Amino acid sequence: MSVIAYSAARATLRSSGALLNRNWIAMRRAWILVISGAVESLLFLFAFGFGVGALVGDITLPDGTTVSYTAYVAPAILANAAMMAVLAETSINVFAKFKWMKVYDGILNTPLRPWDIALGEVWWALIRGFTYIAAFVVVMGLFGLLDSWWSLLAIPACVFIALAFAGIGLTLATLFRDWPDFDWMNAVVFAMFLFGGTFTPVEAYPAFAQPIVYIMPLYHGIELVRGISLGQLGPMMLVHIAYLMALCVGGMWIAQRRLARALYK
Amino acid sequence: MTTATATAAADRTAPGTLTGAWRAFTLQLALYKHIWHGTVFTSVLLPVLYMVSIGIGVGAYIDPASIGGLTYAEFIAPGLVCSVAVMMLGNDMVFPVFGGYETWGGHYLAQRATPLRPVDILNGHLAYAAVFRPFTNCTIVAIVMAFFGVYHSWWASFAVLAAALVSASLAPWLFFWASSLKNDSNLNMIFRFAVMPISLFSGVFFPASEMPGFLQPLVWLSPLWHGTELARAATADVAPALPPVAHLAYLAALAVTGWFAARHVVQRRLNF
Amino acid sequence: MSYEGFRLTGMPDVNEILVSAADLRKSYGDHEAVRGVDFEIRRGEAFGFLGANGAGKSTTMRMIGCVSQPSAGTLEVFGRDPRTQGAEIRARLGVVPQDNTLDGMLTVFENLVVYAGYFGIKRRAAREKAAELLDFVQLTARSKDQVNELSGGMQRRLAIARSLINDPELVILDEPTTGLDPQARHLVWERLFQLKHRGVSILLTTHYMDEAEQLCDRLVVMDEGRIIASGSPRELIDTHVTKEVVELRFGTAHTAELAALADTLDGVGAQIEPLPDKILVYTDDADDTNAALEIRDIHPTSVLARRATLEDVFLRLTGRALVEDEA
Repeated sequence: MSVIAYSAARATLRSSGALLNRNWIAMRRAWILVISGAVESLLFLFAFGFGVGALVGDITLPDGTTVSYTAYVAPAILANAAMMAVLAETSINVFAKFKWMKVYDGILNTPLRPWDIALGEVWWALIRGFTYIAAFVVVMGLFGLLDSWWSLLAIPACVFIALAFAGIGLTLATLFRDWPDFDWMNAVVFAMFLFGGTFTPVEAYPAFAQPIVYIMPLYHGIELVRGISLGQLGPMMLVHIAYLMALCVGGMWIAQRRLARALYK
Repeated sequence: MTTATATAAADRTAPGTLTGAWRAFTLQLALYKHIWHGTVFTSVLLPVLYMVSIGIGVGAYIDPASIGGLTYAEFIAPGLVCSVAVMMLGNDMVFPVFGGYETWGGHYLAQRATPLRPVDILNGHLAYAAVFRPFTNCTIVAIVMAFFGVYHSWWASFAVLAAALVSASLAPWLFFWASSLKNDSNLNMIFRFAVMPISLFSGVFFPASEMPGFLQPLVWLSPLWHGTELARAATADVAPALPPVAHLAYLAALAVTGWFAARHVVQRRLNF
Repeated sequence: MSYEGFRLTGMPDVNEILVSAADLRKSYGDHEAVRGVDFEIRRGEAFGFLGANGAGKSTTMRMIGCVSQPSAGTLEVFGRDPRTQGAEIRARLGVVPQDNTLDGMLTVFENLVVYAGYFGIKRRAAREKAAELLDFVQLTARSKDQVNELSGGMQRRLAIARSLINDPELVILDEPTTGLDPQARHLVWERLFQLKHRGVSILLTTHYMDEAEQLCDRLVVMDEGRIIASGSPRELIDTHVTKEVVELRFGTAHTAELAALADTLDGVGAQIEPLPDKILVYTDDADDTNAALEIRDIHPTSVLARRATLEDVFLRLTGRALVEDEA
């Protein structure tokens, strides 16, 4: 059994790897565009972490501990960076390849299956997201926002965020009909950024708003990364990870189903 | 018969500068009818979200003493009015300008086939992006802000004027830049390297004086900083960083030089 | 199957059946695009599907290419079931879709190498194969160009090269020369001839009769989702039409007038077919027909005698001209 599972996994890896290779070759000429995406999150870090952070000074968390506002906001912006990088890649770019440039129509005639396409796009989005995350963590380190080597665990934590939003982005790419739909997505993402617990503890929100925040995928990502970054580990982290992984698997499953329906007419 | 009346109605002379700009402006206005509902997000939802999340939410943790005795909501409201102007320019003066030439739709090329001159096309688009849009949408933002109780007097309405000035000083430069580009893949760069940094580091969310000294000259270059200083003087009755005349002069100088730069490039692209 | 006479020695078993369909059907909602077709395609032959747009050719092609599930009937490709073994079948096929589906973000050469990756071909082998195929379709000089800088004919040739990257046992071409200018068409035909000579099995759809006549050893004519005739081009012409056709035009005379005129022509040929702009006279000898017209004192504005073509077969079978309406 395990031999069969192994060879099936290998075949899937090889097929999705072929799509990864395609994206790499297609985008390597536009590397400035890809790399410079990391800049946006860093700008937010400087503006809100340091600029606004200096106005706030220290912030007292619901559990009574006090941390600098900069150290409080930075992990949330890191989580946001992971989300944005992956979402841009899997939603808008996949939509363009799917409906506009018809890249998948050509791949359709090869042994690749929709699942391989979905997986290949997720690999690629993860790589792109990882470069942003790594750049961000390096900057955090340079500005003294990482107190211990444990803080580096924020990187794998971000991978869960990236996976969740890869699933969501892929599903959106297959659901959306036209470009204006992305304006709505951006509006929702922006609202999540502002209200997902980035800037203030959710416990300070009015009671009616709190359940809404708990649904937001970004909230779980922020809690996870912030918890690790501030050294406050707890069992709730497993819940966050489970929620993010469920979004990833569910999103990828729906996306490949919809891709198959649209392509295999 | 119908053709005869139609011909008689057409103006067979070349339009003057004002008429030309007006005609080019009406095209932009026609396009606006299709997208106005999208502006609900930028001029209503976005400012509200910012005010609730940052102004009130983060503001609860900020000591008014650190921002000249204002509440944090009072501090950021005038800057947000001006920020929306910059954000709108990102929509109106980048893709539509680039697309005006042959690469995409080519509105400019269509206008160029009429008696309109390149400079009329420039003026028409600027009238839309730097006059019409700030005076409609930024007014809405200013009214939305009023519900947060951040104004001290009717002088606050001058914040809209400050926003329009920011728009006028930045719009021709964006036009210049988008007209000079040959490749659409670099269009997005303007958001990353201009619109975003300008929005975040122009003293809207925190006093620019907090930034390290070597970055200060960059802040002085930002039209949004000058506009925010003026707008904050209007809404919160605080003295701006420089004498108001200096802020006004800088914005005006930027607008005029930008217009000449934009005229140069639009004539190069649209004269055959 | 005259073609088999030319077969080179040492070729694979020519009687091996690559594709077989029995009562194959495909419906989209209420619309039945393919209404029960039967055919067999053998190794080494060039097989054509001829028909107007909307006849069901492309749908049949997509089912063979395992990118569309049959609604009913049986279909086997390489002896496998497309419903469950699509990926395995696609690994052995080469497909040239009607709209090329080239990757616009990649260069000419990259298009081939990346596509090779989808078949699991190793990098080094892929590069060698790509270079060889670019040479085959005469695009070596353009290998570093972006795809959208190529002309329509070049893009089609690149799509053909791409379909050959995995050394397919069967190449499927959906209307390979539609939309190309005459010169580009001839270049494509010439390359397809080369492929045939190399023993590659070819399956193509077309609505061009001359293309079917030039390229196909055997073909089926499809109309409204059904196969209405099959055989070699010569067989079809021999069975369904006479050897020659005389086209008669009468000034500006139109549909109704021509129909009336056609009645007076009874007996000048084997069959009279009035069309909107002309009358076709099917005959075994054009000279006899001309003489008969002379005797009856009928003087058309123009008389054109030509060899019967598949177009005439299609016309006879369906009773209407093959219109190229864009589907």
